[in-house]
Amino acid sequence: MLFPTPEFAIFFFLVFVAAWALREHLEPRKALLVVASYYFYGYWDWRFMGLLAGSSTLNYIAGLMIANSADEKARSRIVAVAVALNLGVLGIFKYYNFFMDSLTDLTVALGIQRDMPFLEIILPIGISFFTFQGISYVVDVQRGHIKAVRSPLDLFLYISFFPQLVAGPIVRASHFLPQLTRKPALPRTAVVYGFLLILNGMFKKVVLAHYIATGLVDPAFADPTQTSSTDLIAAHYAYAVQVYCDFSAYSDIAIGAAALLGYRFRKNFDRPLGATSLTQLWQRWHISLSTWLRDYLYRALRGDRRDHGVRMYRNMFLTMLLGGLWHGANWTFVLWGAIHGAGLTAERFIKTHWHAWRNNRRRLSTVGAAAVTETLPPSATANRVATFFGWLITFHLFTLAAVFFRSPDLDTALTYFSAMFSFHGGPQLLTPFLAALTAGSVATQFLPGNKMERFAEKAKDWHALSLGLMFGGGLLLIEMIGPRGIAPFIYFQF
Amino acid sequence: MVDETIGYREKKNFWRWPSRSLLPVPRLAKREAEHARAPDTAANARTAGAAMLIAFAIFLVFESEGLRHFTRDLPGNAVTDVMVEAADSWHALMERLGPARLQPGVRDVFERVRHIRW
Repeated sequence: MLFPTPEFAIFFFLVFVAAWALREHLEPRKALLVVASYYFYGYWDWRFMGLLAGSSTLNYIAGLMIANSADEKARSRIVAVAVALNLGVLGIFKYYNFFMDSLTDLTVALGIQRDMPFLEIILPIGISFFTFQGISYVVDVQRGHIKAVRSPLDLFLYISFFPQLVAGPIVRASHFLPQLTRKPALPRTAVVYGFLLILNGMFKKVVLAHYIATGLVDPAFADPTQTSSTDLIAAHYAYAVQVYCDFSAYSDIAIGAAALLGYRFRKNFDRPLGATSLTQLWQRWHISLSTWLRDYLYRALRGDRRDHGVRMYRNMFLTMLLGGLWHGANWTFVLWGAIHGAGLTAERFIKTHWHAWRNNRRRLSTVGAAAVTETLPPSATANRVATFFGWLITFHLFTLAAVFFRSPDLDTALTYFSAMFSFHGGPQLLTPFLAALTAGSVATQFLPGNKMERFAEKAKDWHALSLGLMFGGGLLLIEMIGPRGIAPFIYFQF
Repeated sequence: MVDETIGYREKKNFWRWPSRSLLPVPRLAKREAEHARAPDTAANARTAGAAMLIAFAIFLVFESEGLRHFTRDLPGNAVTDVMVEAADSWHALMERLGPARLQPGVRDVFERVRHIRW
């Protein structure tokens, strides 16, 4: 069941009415939401409902075992087993054939070709997301960030809650589970904010992402050799915008739908295409994944010691490399992760040494209490120029790396680059409409980040009729200009 | 997201002046202050539900064509056959009255903009 469909609209309305009718009865309300979430998940393929239930059961039992164990070593062992089982399931479904494929290539290269046991495996939708949520739960219980839940309903709902089940955001147990213990509240701002997020998400997915994809990106990547350089250059920018619109749209609708049901999720995107450094980009892009990687992967690599020097750079690079691999079983994703890892490492190295050099210079140029002119902070103009170049470099690194992200294999990506930098031909696919959509989407990244919250605050006293006209009118306009039928969200495949 | 807690409205209530008056606070003002303190979830849920119903109604009137497509995609049985017939008649009515003609008009304008060349 896709979000921008009548089926989901009817489903959501019925769940909304039933959930608020059960507001005073917490346990039946949770049971209702679990049933609704399993129905939502089973709508794609009912066979994987067992996998979802199995994952929830495993993490529920692991959480209880950790809570009931006083021995720190035993707790660590339970976490290790639970994480290994979670990752094992993910590995089989997502990476088994990729490793077999790579192993076959290696044996061929070494001249010892063997028949590998390939399997016909269907990737269950959303498996990465619910696996990561399960891992975060058991690790947080072990670290003492949250208490293990006693009610299986709570954990089943945390893992399977339908707004975020299929493509995130990756909700933390420490943020979501406490919300299940109190009576849900629905402030008027949450109502308006929920509607606005849903409208925003629908517009980004149905209009922006769709037309950019079908008009420019898909034809350009289908055969880069037959596409002009102008179109290829435009398409590589457009793809970055498309993937942002597509994925952030899902997050917006998920957060909006959860808000209308009385639950709060944190922001998952915060104007990432306006970031002025790679570090900032990863603090704004898919925030729930980047913070997950930081807290559970980087921290696991780092151990209890504070990181510095080569070790820190290595761990940072490895985190991004594995983050790339998380996106899919393909060398293009690994390379994409490696580019970001190398970029982040280089940025951190340059910043660290630049600060050290500047502080050193300040110390030398300070005589007693009087600082000389050199120690004055840079002028506003210099800051603006530095910020602009920071954005320019970050944006281009992101859009160029996105070519690997979009390409089905490395050959296509390299062909794309060689055709793009051959500088031949004018725009064939690129129209003023598509150029405006792409440039306009980037321009919105420089607007204030809290504009919707501010509007929700202003519109909270609106009458139901005004809200209905705003919500219905907005959806109607999107429906009128959008296509008949809608492609699945890009992040469903991850 | 900002919580709906005690808001500016309470501070601006002129009938609260003077603040140390022994006069009883008017009932209306009292009710409003209580309302502002804790969100009236039930009323807000009703408002949200009503807004969604209005959105559905807008779709039924202006997107009756979409309703036809939706009913035709449902699995065929006696109930859905009736739904398909009802959706067809509804769409015919909306076309006759005019709202259903809005969608093709808007789409025409949009398509013209979409296909502008350099």
